Amino acid sequence: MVWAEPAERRIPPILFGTVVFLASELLLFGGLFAAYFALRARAAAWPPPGVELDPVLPSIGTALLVASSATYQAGVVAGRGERLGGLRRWVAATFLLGAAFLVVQAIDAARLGFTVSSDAYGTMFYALTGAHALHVAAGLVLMLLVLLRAAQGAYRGGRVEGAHAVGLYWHFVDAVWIGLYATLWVLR
Amino acid sequence: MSARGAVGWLTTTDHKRIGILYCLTAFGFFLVGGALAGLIRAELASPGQQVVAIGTYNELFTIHGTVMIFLFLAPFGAGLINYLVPLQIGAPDMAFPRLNAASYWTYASGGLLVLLSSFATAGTGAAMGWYAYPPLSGPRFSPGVGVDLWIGGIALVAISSLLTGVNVLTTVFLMRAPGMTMWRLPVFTWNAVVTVVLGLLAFPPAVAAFALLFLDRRLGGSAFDPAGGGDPIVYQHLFWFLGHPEVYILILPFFGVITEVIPVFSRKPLFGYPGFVLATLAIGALSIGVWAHHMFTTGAVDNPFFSAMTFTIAVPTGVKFFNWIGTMWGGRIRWSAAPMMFAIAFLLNFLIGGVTGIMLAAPPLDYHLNDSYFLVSHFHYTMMGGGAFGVFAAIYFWFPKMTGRMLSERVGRLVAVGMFVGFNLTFWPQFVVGLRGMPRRVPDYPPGIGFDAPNLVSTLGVVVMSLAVLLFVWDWWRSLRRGPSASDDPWGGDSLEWTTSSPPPEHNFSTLPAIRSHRPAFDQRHPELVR
Amino acid sequence: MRRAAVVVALALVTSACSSTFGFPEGGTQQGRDIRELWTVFVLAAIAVAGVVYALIAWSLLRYRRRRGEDPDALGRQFHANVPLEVAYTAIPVAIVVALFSASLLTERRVTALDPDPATTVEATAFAWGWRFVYPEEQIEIVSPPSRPGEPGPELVLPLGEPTRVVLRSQDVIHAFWVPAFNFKRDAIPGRTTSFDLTPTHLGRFRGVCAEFCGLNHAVMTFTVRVVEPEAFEAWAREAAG
Repeated sequence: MVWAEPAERRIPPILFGTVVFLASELLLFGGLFAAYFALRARAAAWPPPGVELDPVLPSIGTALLVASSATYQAGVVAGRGERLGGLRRWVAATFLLGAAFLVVQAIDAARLGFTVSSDAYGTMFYALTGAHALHVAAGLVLMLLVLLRAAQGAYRGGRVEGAHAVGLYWHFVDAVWIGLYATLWVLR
Repeated sequence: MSARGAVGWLTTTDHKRIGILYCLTAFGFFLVGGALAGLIRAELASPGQQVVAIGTYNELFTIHGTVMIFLFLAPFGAGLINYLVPLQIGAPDMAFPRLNAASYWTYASGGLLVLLSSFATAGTGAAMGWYAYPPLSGPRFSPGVGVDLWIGGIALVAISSLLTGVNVLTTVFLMRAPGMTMWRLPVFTWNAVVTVVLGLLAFPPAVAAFALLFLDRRLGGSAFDPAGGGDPIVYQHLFWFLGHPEVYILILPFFGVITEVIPVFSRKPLFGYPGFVLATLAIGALSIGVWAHHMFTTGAVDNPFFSAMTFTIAVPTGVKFFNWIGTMWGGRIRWSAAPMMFAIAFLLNFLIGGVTGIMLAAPPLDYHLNDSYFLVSHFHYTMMGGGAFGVFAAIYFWFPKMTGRMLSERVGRLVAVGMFVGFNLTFWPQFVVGLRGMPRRVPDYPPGIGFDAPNLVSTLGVVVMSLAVLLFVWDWWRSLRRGPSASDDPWGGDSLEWTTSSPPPEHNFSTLPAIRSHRPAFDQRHPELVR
Repeated sequence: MRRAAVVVALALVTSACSSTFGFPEGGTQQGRDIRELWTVFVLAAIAVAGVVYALIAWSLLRYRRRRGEDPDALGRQFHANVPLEVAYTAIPVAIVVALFSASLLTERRVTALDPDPATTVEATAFAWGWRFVYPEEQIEIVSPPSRPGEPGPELVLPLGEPTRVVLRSQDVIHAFWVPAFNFKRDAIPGRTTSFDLTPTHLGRFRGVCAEFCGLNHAVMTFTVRVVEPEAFEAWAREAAG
């Protein structure tokens, strides 16, 4: 219980702070999803006629992201076990998977027959996928920082809280994508 | 050791310096927003168009509202939270000092963008009102760059608020001194916790709304444009999901302030501490569910539900009033002390804001009162009569701790009385014109239909208030350099900040007293009374 | 002395009950309903605020620190009183439930739509003016762009009969507000909203836009003229012809 005394110090602050931050981030996507469903509820046809959504590429993207969550976690486990080479290799693999996801997304977006300015559906589609892509890109930058700090000799002795916090963020981005995939391609 | 001088302040990661930077910047914005209000009242002093052009007038009230809400009151609260929370829980600093500095600079840049959105964009400034309803704020009706700068500025302020929230919560949950349980947290810190939680919940959906508005404006989107299948009501929901918790983000820190001030000057413990904390939590919880009471007149929301939620929030607020009265009851009240005078003015003003809030919570009454000057007066009674008076109570209370010098008691009394009289002269007549049918956001009104005299009185009230504020600024400047030096505990305070030096050393405490209740400083002075 | 006090108190109470406390009396049935609710709310507010102010004043005067008193003297160090705390939570709950119920009943009445209104007006707001169309009578009234001092277009309503107003906007958000009727409703592009007005007073009433809508928001006014039903018929024939 959080009310217990004395103050609990076992949770590393960086992880506690990251969880609070992600809870707040969830509401950013919550707002966008709320707007999506509110507009969907008022629309005569949703998606509008003429919108062709091919689920093949997004499904490949989903597989890439889910795999990348696993690879990142493998990196954290390696780091905890003081295998720093393993940490670096797994994080680098995650970076490549994340980058591949963005490439797949870009190819898919280029093939879609609608844009932000087509209609409210297009606006919401690109707002949701765009906000998510920005989060993926930010995650890639964070992973570069983790690799840089690892090269500088951080994370020795199993003290991998920083890398773990980035991992929490990455899982969050992954989880949001699954919600997005379900909303945009499955539920529509 | 931190660097000295201006560089030291600009590169600081010390929570106390960051807190003071927040407060100073926010107070600067208060003066800016007040000057804009002065221009607005000058234009409305009499019928006709005398002082500014209509377009300029529309920019004035847009920036006045934005500045007072996002750049003055909330950041001043954030400044107090930064300064006080680590001290009150016996911590050496915030959990993430560099993140804390980043929050401040993000806020300061956002504030600059908001000012630019109007003053540096001749003829294309943001002039859509502080809640920026589309389609008026959309590409067709506000094509200028002003709204884009405004969106950018508010987004930065939102990000700053998120970072502060993460930092404060982590600090309070993980860095309390031994013995400082949650049920011994000083009430200001409790209010700070609920404030930052509301910020964490409410800002992200608003950022989503602003992002969609930006897509509509610059990339041809139509999320809020009915022509493309969008809906302006969706924006209103997302905006007020921020907008209403935001007013509690503004007021809760100052509930905290006066709840620190009243017990100290009554020489009593807070009456009903657990009830007060529960009431604060209840206000926080309920404030998430009342947003659509801003939309009763749209005919597009479930009025009874949001009305019921809004009525309910009056109960914990009422409980707080009885906590304050119960605290004064049986005390030895030093009500001529400046912090206490501002706290009492807070009580008197906020009660009016509260009872008029109940009226506005009834949708049928809202059908007449919404978007009238009655509404304007109502929220100024809460935000200014409560919030801004709380700001002054806090300044007079903690100035000795922050600077090691005292402000003048006599000038303080004069400022308190001047502001109280000026405030009520300004806003009471606005209830009257609102009831008589004067809408908000108009630069002009027809003569002879009962609007003239109240508007003139209202403008005179602003003159009185401005004089009081200028008097304060003069006294502040003088006392900062030549005020009598303050002891560590000039008031006989309750919480831990009064057990360290004035101003506190870099890491706050060399020793901490035993913490056995929610007022460890009092227990230290009166060991015979510890239960 | 005491008798004088009673007389003054009675006079205050009676004038309070007959007063509208600054609220317009309400030129429609719906508006009168709203004003009656307002009276309930104001009396409750005065009672509550009176009690709270009296308690604050009593605390400040009775428990002030006197001149010459030891500045460090403490008040009685009591922390809580659970029965009292329960009471001051329960009583506001009761007041709030009562006020909410009153509000809910009034809202049902004032937003109720008559199944058979005497006439219908399609009101469309635009920046910055109004278009009033009577589809049955085939009348269209459009305002020229409003200017200061001009009353704007005239909406004519029959006395004592419900008129349905169907409100729309053609550009940004506006609001239709007749202060003398104690009623406003937002006009939102892409949405249609309806309400009834049943005038109880003859005369001309000022109408304004209440939702900020850009440059000429302040002069986006109109006039409501309430006439006898026969006069309305006559006006409608003439206006249509």
